[in-house]
Amino acid sequence: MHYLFGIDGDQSDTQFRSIRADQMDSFNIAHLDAGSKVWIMDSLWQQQSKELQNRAIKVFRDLKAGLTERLSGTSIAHLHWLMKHENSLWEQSLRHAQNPGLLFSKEGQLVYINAAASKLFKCDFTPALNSKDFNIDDKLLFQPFSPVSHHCSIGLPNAKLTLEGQLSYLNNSPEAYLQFEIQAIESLNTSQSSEKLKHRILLQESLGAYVILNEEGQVKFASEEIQNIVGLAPNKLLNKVCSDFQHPEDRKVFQDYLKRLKNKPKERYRIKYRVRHADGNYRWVRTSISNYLEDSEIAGFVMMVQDIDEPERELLDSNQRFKWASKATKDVIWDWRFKDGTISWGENLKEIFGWEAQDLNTTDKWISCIPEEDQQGIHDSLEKAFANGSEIWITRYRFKKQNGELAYILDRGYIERDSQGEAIRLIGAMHDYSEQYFYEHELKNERRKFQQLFEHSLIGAAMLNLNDLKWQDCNQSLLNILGFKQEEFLNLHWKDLIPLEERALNDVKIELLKAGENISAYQSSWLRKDLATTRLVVSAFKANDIQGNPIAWFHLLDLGPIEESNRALVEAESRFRQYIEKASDIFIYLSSRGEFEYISPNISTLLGFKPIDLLGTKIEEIIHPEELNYVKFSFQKAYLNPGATYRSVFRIKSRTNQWLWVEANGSFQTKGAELKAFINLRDIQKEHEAEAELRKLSLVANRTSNGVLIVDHEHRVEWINESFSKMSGYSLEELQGIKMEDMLHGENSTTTSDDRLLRLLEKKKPFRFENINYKKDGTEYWIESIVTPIFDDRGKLVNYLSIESDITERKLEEFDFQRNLQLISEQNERLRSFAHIVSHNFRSHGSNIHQLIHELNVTTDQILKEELHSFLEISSNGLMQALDELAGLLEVESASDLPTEELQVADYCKRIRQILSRPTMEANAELEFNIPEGFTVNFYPAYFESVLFNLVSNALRYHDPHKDPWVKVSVKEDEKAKYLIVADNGLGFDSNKHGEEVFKFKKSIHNHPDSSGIGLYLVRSQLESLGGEIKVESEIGKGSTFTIILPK
Amino acid sequence: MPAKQYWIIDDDPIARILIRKKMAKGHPDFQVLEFTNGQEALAKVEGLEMDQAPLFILLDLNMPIMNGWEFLEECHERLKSLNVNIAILTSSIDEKDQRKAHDYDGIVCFLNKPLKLELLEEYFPGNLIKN
Repeated sequence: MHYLFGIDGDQSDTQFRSIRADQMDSFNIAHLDAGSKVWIMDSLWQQQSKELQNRAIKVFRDLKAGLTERLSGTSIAHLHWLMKHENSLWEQSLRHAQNPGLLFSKEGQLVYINAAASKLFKCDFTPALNSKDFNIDDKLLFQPFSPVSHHCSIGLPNAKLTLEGQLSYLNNSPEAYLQFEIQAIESLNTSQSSEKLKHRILLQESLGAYVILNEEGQVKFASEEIQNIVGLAPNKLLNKVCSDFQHPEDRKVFQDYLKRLKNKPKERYRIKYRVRHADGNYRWVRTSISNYLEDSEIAGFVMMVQDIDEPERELLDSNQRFKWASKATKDVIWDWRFKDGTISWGENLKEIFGWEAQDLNTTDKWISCIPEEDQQGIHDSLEKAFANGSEIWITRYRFKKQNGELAYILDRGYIERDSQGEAIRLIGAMHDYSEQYFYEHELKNERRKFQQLFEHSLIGAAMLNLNDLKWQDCNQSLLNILGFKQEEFLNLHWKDLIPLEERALNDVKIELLKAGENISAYQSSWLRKDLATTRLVVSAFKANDIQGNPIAWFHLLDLGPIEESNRALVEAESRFRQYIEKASDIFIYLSSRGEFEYISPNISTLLGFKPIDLLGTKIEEIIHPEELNYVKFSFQKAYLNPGATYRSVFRIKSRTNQWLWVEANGSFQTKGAELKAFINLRDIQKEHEAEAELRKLSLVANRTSNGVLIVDHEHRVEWINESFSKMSGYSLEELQGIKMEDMLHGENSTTTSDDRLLRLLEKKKPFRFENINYKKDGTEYWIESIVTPIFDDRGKLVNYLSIESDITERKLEEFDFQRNLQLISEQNERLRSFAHIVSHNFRSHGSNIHQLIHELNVTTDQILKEELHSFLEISSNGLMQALDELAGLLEVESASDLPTEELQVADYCKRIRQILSRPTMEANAELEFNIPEGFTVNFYPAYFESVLFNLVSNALRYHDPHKDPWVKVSVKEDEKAKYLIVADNGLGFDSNKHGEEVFKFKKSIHNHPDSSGIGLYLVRSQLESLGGEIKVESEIGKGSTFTIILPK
Repeated sequence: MPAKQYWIIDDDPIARILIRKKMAKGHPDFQVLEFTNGQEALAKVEGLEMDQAPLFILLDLNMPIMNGWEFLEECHERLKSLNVNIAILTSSIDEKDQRKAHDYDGIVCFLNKPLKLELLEEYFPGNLIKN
């Protein structure tokens, strides 16, 4: 039941008659509530008689003095004044009345509703008095002061109220009450009317006690709320001097403020001071005080007084929440009484950092756990926060745990100040973000890796002085791109690089740069040193050098598949910075059904929702469907395992329906009788973007045709790109974490323990390196790599990255060249052999013949002549033989690509037996061929015969006369080759000493008449010309075994 | 006084006969020892007394088993201490061989076959041979 009270002036007491009837029509009368019995009359005050006005003033004063009096006609007139001149007061009391109140004009116009009514109707408006906007529904069903029928309705600005009510007269008094029930409130979409200033003030300041002071500082009004602060009812304060309630020490400050404020209409100050409570204690309050002296309706200072104890209670509450939340995270709450240097700690101090509270209960003890190099930063940040009046102190430092480990701390505190604004106390929480730190660190390193990759291989960078357009600095890549030496480049003018036809385009960019704009990538052709143009992707940004001169950094990229990389890099960097700068975790707790029960207010910065928007809703409504099952699953796990922390990463919907990545760490804890999920939400959108950037960069790296390999300092593979994968046959998964020597290297590789490699890495500069790698299938391949070692801030090798190209072909060419060179040297050697043959074999015979003929000419002795003749014959035979041998040799040397065929070895053996039947007989040797029927070798027929002939005839020739000589020829075969073995029990030689020599030209090891030394040389030449080999084992006096190897 | 002696180290029997004949014509007082390769000669050099040492050796270069250079490598110090003069007598016209001959101070001359006696005599000062 709600009440609306009204009275008809016409029906009031007789004295009222003194007001003229035509004026009566304009009266508005309302009764606020039964308790206060304040009557309001609206009329044309100015037109009232002086007497009436005076009486109205008296009534007002009586009312203010707390009188409750039934209204008389006189009172009504008084109230008229009240309404006109004490509007704010009246409004204030009306506003704070507990009952909903509506005020109607005689015509049935709704002219006002109070706060309680407005709350009831859920229409947040406070109409201005006399507003014409608020008409009771048509038909004027609601006749003021007359009984209303059922189901009438009232039009509100954005709602329609249906009333069921009855106007009644109580106790036969002339007062009329409208008694009604709310039937329904229907929302309408209408624009809100503008509000008067005073209402706005009241709304804004609605959070505390509201006090109006006059120019002298006397209390002219105080709202009910003040009782909570000073323990006195508002009326006990009226006309008291405000300062009387203040702490003596704070009075002067307050007076000063008031004085200053006097001349500054509409200005507002915030001050803190202590007020005396009725119980005798002083309490800190925070007050905002504004000057409304010039406002005719207020004509005073408006004060909003807030009990500081209140926010502190809230802080305690939030600390409690924080404690729950911190169980799920790694936050340790502290309370630092700055002045006396004591610190008290949250319960989980020991759990997180291992320290007991007393280990760290003073500033000095706490500081001693912080590495010296970080202490200055803490000092500076505190000083800064204190100096600029900030309420929040945030800093980062490292903190030594009890076990000696260093934790990376994000410390956030709320600074409490005294009236002089001096900090007295800080309350906050240390957040251990070590994991995050290392993650960030890793990201940084990753980024640096890629940055190096591009710096060293692709992107040219140069600095241009925008005043004189001269280049001032550049990197090596740029010099590579444009072909200049550094000193040449630094003498150049900007225009020297721009061909005429590109001048206009590039000049525009320079003008933009001068105007302070950054230049995003554009394509242009620039001049190289050789005056050829090269197509580039150019981007630039403006900066200032150390002297403050305007400069521009240019990034040049030889147009290739990686033109976006530069931009991506810059973007990644800025995002990264943003990410590092942000740090705000959101705490929530959920019921076991997943409904939000608490959300910290900073949710709005992330999602745009206010906590109230989400309270009671289920979290799953804002989780991305793709992650929902996964999140539910970990939620269930956490539920079944209270106390254990679970982590999930998922997307969450913002108010604008965007999906944002968050990381949630949380656990179920008992709160009251129920299990609640305490969760710490962290915005990881930036990490995700940064990761995406990295992925992008790695894509870029992937797209280069060179293999890219990133290796850690222990030579373990961290990352390879696709090209490398193609090159080596290994996938990233197969190689990741594997030491290079375990997979990529093999017997012919230079290993990672190689001194030269280690020395090069230590030089901290990119270098070239050639090596042999092994593919997955075992194939050897040559690589040339540009290796860039990467060092951390302390100069320790962290990674090196290697950009590799497969140079096997080039190497093969190199080897081809080597082989050809060798061939040529061999050819040369042979030519020398010919010289040798010519000088020895031919010349020795020649000189013999020459001398023999001379002797023949001078000799007359017939016997001697015959002897000389026989010598001559021998010598000429020798000469002939030498010629034949030379011919044979020449044939082998010039033979190439001889036609080979499958030869039946047995057939050749038969022929050899025939040819050598005479020497065999002469040596009385046994010749044994042990050849399986059908055994073939693939060879050039003439050579095979020659080889077989030479070997067997040699064996016969060097037989041991003291033994029964034998020569045995056999064959064998394995998967690699076929073998022909010629063994004898002849003279033999020391094959350890002469093993190779026997096959050399003219290296006869026997002092035997027929030993020309050419036979075995020929055998080897013939075999080798067709890919065969010959080996020998022999021992003096035991015999020799020659083995011919013909690879399959 | 022991008889004047010289050695021929050469694998070519005809060459040996022809050298022997030519020497016998100009210097019938000389005794000759013949070896068919370096190894045989080396065996003789080892254990050679001062009074048995030859006045000079006619050394062929190109021989089986142990050629002339290998022979010199083994024993030129020893030959020097025995005051044995070496004359290279070879059919080689290879300049390399001629240059190499300068590496051994025991070598007094480098002659091409066939042997010209007057050249040999010219290289032996003090009428060592002519006597």
